[in-house]
Amino acid sequence: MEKLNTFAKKSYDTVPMYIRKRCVRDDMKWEDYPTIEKNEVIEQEAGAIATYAIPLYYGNKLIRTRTSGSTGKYMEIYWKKSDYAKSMMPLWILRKKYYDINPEDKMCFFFTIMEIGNNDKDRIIQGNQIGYSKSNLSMERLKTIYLEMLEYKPVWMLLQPSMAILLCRCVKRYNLPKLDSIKYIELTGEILRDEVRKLITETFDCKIANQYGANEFNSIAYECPYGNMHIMTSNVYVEVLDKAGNIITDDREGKLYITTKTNTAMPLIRYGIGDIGKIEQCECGCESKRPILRLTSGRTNDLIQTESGEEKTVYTLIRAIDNINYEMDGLIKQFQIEQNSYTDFIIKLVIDEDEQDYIPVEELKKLFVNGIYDEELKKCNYSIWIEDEMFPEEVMYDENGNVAGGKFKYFKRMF
Amino acid sequence: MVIYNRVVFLGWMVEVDMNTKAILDELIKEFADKNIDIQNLEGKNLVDDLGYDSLNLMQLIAEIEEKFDISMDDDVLIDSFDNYNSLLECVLKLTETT
Repeated sequence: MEKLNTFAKKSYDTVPMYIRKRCVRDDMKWEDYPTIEKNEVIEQEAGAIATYAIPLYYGNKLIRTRTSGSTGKYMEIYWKKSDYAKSMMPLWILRKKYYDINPEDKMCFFFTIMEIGNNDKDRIIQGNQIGYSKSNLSMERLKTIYLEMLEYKPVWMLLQPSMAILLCRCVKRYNLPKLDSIKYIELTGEILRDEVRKLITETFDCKIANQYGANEFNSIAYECPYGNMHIMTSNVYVEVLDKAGNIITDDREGKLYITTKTNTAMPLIRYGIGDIGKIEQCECGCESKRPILRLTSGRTNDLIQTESGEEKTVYTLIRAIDNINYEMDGLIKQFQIEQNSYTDFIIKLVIDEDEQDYIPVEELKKLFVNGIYDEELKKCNYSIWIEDEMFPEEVMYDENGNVAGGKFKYFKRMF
Repeated sequence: MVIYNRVVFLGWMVEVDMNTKAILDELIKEFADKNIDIQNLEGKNLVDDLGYDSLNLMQLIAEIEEKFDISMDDDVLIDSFDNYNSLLECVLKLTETT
């Protein structure tokens, strides 16, 4: 805890976003550090970067990642290269220990967007990894991808549960042969429900592990072979807070606040990740003493239902929102997609207040539709609604003060 | 032959199995970035100072476990993988007990 306090103190001394809070005292205890929320960090831009890293930021020497928009809001995260490597290494150590997966093993993954704009590719190859775009997936396209995978022989896959469902359905629909090379599938980005785990196990007959991470921190918790999500204590410090902002020390649920232990360039201290869960200190068959994180709310993801009867991933439409941001210099700050019938969608967007009067909705719609690569979805009807604000991060509490509901869904199917 | 010597380690004077230390040092240097001139590993960070990435770290851990016939505890490993002193301490403890 002393090391963490020192890290926080240093961050509060060197990051403009924290310096402005003017709250650091010599006798400061951990719980005295204020919590921060995503909105606050987004507003800061370079102000969230430590002074020592500012020259690196302007010299494009920092690794830049971006939150996936799964909360409906984008945020850019900056890392010093060595910090990024350090944050990833515990996950690699455990992948190897638990599931015998090495960095040099061939793997497949699906991506929302790699190169924003018109140059986006359907497939990218990075060393021993093949990535497939989620932006124009159909069952036929998935079949082609799967057939390519059969030839490529990946040892493992990194998938979001909604993507894994589609892949399993594709295998079943076309009665495709088993992918014998696969020995491990890592699920991330959304809540992994038991029925989805069962479906993946039945389809691929391999080891499965759930990994809870976020671009803000990389890995936060990772599932051991005994089914428990142990916190990555070398990478993050996780706290559960109640409605009043007090630290919950027993196994009650609350809102999760995360502190990085590795990102010195953009150190997020007591950051509200927007998920709900609880921490348990109990014995596990894997003999790890690291606390166990139980998520009770997270990024569950509905699939788009189309008129042809196909289910498609919502990332096809998220990519189209990315396209607007690319063309209009990060105009969209927040979004929510509602599907009201097989062919009707409402796209709710929050944009800069200063820009609201100057941006024609028809232009946004045109850019949005241009960014859809899936032919069937391209023909659907889209209404663009400009909203002043959306409040996705509110945690709902019941009359007893217990957490009753949580994170906002960036995609909602209304039928 | 096991050689014991008194060296300053982690701020204390402790007995260190010099054979184990020498072998570990060699292994760490073997997988480190070859462009980095390494003399003394004391206090070094594998990532910041020796240019380790996830691939050569995995190779190093596998080699350490094989060479010393030990299995490194996951919790200790993930909390101290990047620090030479912690790594040495961990290997020394494990080789003492095996």
